[in-house]
Amino acid sequence: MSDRDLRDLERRTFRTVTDDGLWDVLIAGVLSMLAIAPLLSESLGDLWSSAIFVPILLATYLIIRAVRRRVVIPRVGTVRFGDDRKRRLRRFSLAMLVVNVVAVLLGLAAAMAVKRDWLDLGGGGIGYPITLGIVILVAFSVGAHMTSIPRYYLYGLMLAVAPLVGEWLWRHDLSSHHGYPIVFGAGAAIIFVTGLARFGAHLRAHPLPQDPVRG
Amino acid sequence: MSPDNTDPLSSIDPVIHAPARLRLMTQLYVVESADATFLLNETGLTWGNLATHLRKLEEHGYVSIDKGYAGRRPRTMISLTDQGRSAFQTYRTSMQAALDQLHD
Repeated sequence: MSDRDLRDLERRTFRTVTDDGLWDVLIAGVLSMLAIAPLLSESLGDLWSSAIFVPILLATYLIIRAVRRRVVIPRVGTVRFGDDRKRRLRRFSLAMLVVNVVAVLLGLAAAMAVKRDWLDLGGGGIGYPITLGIVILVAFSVGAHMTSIPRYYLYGLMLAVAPLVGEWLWRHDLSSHHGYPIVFGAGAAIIFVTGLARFGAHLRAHPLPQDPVRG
Repeated sequence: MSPDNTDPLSSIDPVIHAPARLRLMTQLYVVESADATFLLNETGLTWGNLATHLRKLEEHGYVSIDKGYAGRRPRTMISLTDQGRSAFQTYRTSMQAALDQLHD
């Protein structure tokens, strides 16, 4: 029983407790926003077409929390992790904050540049989809590394190429809105189905304890 | 009869060495604490066996059992004590020494 075995056991324990597929459902919700918001922007405007999703995502998050508390925890149990894992999760939160701030700043910079005709997203430049792809890849890779869930690396790769594929579809008149409704819609569907499958498998692997004694 | 000090197996802690308790100690060593449901799932023990082994570990001061509530539901969290962590580390070292000696 080496130190490495113990580290592996801690990692497996963390995955058992956290990898129930419900985070995937939330990720799919965020991606749905990226897919649908461009379609709504013509009628609602840029701000409201995104803002309308905030209460929906919040409701999704609260539902996920309730499902976790009422369905998952009674089956899987509760674990409090040690200082190493807590430090790792704090670093993860910080990294996510940095990635999100950078993404928002890049988005604002791009929006301002387009408004002042410094950047032509519809013309030759593919800098924006490449930058967006890199931000997505970094965010998912950090998430996969910090949570020890390798599936998120695949999500990162899949979604990193999505803006470029969307751009290609748009330039070939195969999709509107830079292809976002198709590529992010498809990504959301794939991740949602994967999350549900994972959730089902997790519940099957952890049936409710039959004994009346409660943990 | 006093234990043979030259025999590395004599330093193996019999309280930890039982397979079910070793599984419990190992699982608890890698986390801060866990509830009974989680330990039941991870060790494959029955409720009765789990309670018996935890009682034995508690009697030796290796685990502490903290009965509390999560909201309105009762929840029992189990964690290794400092003594338990130290005993587990000693057990690992002793086992490694015993296995190394067998290998030689």
